Amino acid sequence: MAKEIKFTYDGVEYTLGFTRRTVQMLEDQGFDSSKIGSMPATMIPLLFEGAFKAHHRWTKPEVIQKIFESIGNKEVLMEKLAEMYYEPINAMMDEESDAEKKVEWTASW
Amino acid sequence: MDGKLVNPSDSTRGEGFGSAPLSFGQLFDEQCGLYMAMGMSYDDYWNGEPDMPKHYRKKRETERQFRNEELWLQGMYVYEAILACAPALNAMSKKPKPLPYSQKPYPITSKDLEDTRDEQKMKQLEDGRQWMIDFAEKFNKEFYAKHKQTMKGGDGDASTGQS
Repeated sequence: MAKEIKFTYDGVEYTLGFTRRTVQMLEDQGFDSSKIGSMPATMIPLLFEGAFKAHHRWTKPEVIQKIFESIGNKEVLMEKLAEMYYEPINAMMDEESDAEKKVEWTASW
Repeated sequence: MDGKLVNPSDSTRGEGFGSAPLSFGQLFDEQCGLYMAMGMSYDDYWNGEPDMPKHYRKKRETERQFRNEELWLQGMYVYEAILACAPALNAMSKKPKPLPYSQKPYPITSKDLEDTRDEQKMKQLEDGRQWMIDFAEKFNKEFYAKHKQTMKGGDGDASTGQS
């Protein structure tokens, strides 16, 4: 089951998600996940816009911009968008068993 | 992943913001044929559920396992056929007759195994029944042969008595 974000805006139900095609399209538009930290103002709206491509390809950028401005809890939204973005990529990688993963890590925040 | 994926000069994508160190789009392009060879449709690959490739890899793994089992089974049949032929091929053999080959395929499913067990059981019962019939016939023959004279005498007496 694909990871999706659902919400209603202005009476329209939206489902955000990524496919391999939309990840590729997003890269073609200049999105680079490694630059989210250094260029958040460009990359985050681009990622948000890219999440519309799978199910709402013809939504106007102005509408997406308005939705982005009015959407709450952006930090969690970004986390979820990033998870969704990496889902088609992770599916291409071989899963290793936990026993094979020898390095454990922790985050400081 | 090979060098091509991480070589920015090869990438035509992401030029607006400098070349991406790793182009996922290129990775997807390269892998598309592989997944189509596994039976995934072009549309499913590009626009379908993101985690479909995992299932196709699992499918391929299972198919390879099945194929391996089939080849192993085939090897078993070939091995048995060679063993069955061996006496006929041996010039030094005193009985140069091939041994009988299996009458039926080997039972591999649980139903096959159950059927085979039932058949063996039925055969045992049938053998037992036949043995009883043979024994009874033999016993009767011997009994009649032993008591022929007595029975004849008895019959004769009875017939004499009647007449």
